[in-house]
Amino acid sequence: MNSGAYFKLVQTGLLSAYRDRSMLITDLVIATGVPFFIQFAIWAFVYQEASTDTLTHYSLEETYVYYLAVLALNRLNNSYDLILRVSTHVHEGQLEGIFIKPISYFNYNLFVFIGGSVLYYIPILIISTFVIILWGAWTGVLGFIVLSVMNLYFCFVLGFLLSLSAFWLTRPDMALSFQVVLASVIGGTLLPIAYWPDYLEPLMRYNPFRLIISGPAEFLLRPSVDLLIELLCLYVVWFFVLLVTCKITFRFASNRYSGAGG
Amino acid sequence: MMCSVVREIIIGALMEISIDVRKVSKDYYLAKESRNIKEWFKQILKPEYLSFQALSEVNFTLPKGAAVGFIGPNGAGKSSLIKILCGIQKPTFGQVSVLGYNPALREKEFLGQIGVVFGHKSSLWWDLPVKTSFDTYKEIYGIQDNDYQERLSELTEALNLTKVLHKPVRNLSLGERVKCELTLNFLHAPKLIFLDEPTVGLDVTSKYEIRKYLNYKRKTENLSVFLTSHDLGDIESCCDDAIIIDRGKIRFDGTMQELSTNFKSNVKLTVTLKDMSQSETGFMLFKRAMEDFKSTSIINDLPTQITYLVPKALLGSVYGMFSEEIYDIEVSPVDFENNVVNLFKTWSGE
Repeated sequence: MNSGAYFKLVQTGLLSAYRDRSMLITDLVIATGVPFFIQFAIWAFVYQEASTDTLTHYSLEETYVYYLAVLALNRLNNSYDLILRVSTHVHEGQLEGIFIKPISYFNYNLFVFIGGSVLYYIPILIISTFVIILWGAWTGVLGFIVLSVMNLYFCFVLGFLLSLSAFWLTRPDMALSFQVVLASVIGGTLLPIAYWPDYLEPLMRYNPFRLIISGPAEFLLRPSVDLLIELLCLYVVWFFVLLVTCKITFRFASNRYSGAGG
Repeated sequence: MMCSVVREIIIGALMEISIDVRKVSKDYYLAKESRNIKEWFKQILKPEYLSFQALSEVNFTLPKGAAVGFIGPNGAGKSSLIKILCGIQKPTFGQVSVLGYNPALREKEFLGQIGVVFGHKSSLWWDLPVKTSFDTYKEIYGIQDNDYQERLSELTEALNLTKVLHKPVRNLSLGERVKCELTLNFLHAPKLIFLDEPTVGLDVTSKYEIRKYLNYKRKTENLSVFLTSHDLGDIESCCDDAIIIDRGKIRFDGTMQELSTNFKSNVKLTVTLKDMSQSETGFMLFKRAMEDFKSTSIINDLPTQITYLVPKALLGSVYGMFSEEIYDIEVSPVDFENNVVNLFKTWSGE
């Protein structure tokens, strides 16, 4: 396979996302904007009642930036469409049409997924520019951008593994709910790690969803070599585990697949 | 040295055969349906499966450049065989060689030499213009720019698709979509094309265009064709050979000419009442008398007309029962479709 083919798949993914403008508006305005304003209201109230300007870790200003970042990352690293696409392919027998093409199903979905995520990278760049203007924090912003790019591949592997449940389940709802809930709760979209009880901290710190949501946001606010090493080590370990699981599960699933009749 | 010569001979021989299927069987396993909560829990803890055989010891070969039509009722195993031949599924037993490759390995070199059209499934991007899908697959198959332009213009002209290239797939009619699917599968100039019910739901013009193009490609590029269709007109128009499959077993494997010769042993006998009010009882008696001829079968039964499929050898005996004042009779050759229906009826009774 040549790089031109991968580029074309990225382009196709991008065009598909662009064509679905209503979804684009829903994702960028409603799904990102509304949660931010809710968080904005909650944290404004919390800080107003608090005796100091800083709660445990972050100032009010930093908390706003944290939520802006995690909500943008939550949308960027969202495998909802991927799970839905794989499920449609499996349940409607469309898998055959791709299996007979000289491209692996994994790569086909990977590049379409990357293409579909390109537009959602714009908020990441806007936040980065905003942070540079606000604080001039180049290290954090650079790490945030690089980690967000790395995230895409990691998020794809995680989402693809969840999507393979379509081979066993009748509907994709369970995988979709898992993805949304895990990304929101243990990914750190709802609450930064620092605000969770101590006994839950290992789960919050070492789960793979942290890597795609709160990890880069933490680095944006508190860049450090220790955090970078911690995140990179977690990436390597989780990436290896997920990729191997993905390959094994896909082999089982495709052997099991008998397709829709006709 | 000797080994390499033998290998060359084997490869040479294999290259002349597009498809070689030997003793292929395919079993499917389905989870047992649970009828109550107890069975449902049991099924979760220790799942039980029921097996059924979709294909049973199937053997056939398709020489290079030949076209074979696969005929069979729904659930006969046609699509399972196509899926095995293009590498989507693996056979439970048996050996398969397609263009000298083992399809189950799904090597890119192999997939680049075949085309597969599933009449009711699409590999085009639903919301994007048709041309975008073509351009993407051009890169996936690594087609040269000149070849791509040449083939695309030939295909769009032959299949009358010029006006739809820039329309989103979701706005196409069924016929246009299937023809686009066919175009996509011809862009990389495959040596062998699998067509699984390609004309299902299409109008006569679209069917005609597809059949004409297939025949043109066979003539000019020695394309091998594996076609399954419930429209026997497709098979009559495009294939030299026919294979009839029923409940996973091959019942007939020969040329279309041999199949027609077999079918010529029957004729269609249409009996029409001259005057309904006077001869209804006589007509009923005639019908009952016809039931004694076990090798005849009814094609069509209307209040004043009945049509039978009658072996030529029996025609004399049946003829003796007619009363010219009451009935009009007509003897005509049986069309291909009725012959096949009759075959399936006979086998289903076995």
